[in-house]
Amino acid sequence: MFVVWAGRDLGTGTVAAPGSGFLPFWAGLLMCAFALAVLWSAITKGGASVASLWVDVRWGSVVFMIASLAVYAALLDVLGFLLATIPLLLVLLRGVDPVRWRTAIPIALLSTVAVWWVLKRALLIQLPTGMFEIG
Amino acid sequence: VDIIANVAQGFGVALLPVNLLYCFIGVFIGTLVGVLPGIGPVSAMSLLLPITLAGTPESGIIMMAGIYYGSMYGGSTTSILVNIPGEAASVVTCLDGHEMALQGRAGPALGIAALGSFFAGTFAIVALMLVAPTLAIWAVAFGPAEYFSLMVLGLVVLTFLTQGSMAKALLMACVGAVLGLIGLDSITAQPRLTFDRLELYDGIGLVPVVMGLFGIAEVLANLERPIARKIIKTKLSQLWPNREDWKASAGPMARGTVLGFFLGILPGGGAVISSFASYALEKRLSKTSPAQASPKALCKPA
Repeated sequence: MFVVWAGRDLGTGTVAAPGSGFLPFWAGLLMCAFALAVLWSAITKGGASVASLWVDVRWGSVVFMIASLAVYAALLDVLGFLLATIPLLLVLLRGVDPVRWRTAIPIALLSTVAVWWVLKRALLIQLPTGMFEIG
Repeated sequence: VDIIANVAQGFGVALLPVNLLYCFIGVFIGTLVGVLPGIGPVSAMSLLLPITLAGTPESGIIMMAGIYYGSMYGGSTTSILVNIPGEAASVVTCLDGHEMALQGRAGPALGIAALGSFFAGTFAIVALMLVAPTLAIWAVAFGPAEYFSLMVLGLVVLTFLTQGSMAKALLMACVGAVLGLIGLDSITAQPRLTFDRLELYDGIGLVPVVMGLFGIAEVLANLERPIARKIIKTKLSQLWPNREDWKASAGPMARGTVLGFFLGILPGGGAVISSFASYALEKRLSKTSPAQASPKALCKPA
């Protein structure tokens, strides 16, 4: 519905002279139609319930991972690639299926520096350096 | 006669030992770079362009071709082994290639993908040389109506690929189309669905979407159920396919080669539509369920 609204606001124009909102508007309407078809099929035919799909799921790990990635995405530009990636790997290595510090620290440090070296030095790809301009 | 003389001269130059060495270096570096998700053939070639300046122009072009083929194949490697396509054309390789890897047949899967690419690529190049002058005239006549038809073809192919609910597949096709609309309108330069974020003005690239849908989804799927973790533990042996694999792959390779050639020469179509169309064709012809991993599916044209 949001896409339909956004398309309408952008101006749909006509078929001969479509506006910027033409495609979003009609694609949005199609999405609504298909969503209704899926809903109708779920009501009439049934199937696995939402609850049954999530039985035995380790919610904690999934939420932890998504939250870590969100924080990483937010901090990447601010801290730069090296300073943001090393803590992320440490947090993930310790938080999800914890490994010992003695293993986690070398893995986090070496893998980050290796990836940084390949991308930055070997392939000359620009990576964010952050406010401290490290990396 | 001119064509044959030109082809012979071309082979004469290409088969010089120094050019073969350049080709090998190109393929080697291209494969290494292609394994990195997000760096496709075009970006690999752009990044490695300075390396080609050392030799003659012919050696440079040969090395670039090697980088292109190597990085295309590198994309298939990650698709098969870790279920993350290196670039868009390798998405279909994930479907059955990774399944074969999970069954302990990663070696033949990689081998068939490489050989399929090699046969189709070689045929396409020779055929292209023969029909290039005619095609040049035809390509100029390719207008908006033809491009529109090509896009419709892409969506029609999608309906072939669906397993299960057609409504869900079409819904996701619409979601994909809407994601593709994000950014500046190419005609009016009006921002669409950008939420005033500067990052969205350039649109959402294929790589972030693919990484999110395949890469992060795979990580989360492995996390949510500890028992269902799928790690390939078998050794990577026997890269050369066995007799049965050859028997199963020969037809799809031939069909994929011809289909890939005709779709590949269309401007704008490229490897992505070719690979999807080829998979769709084989799925239609196959008597077995798509869920049963088949080497046939790997014979996509590159």
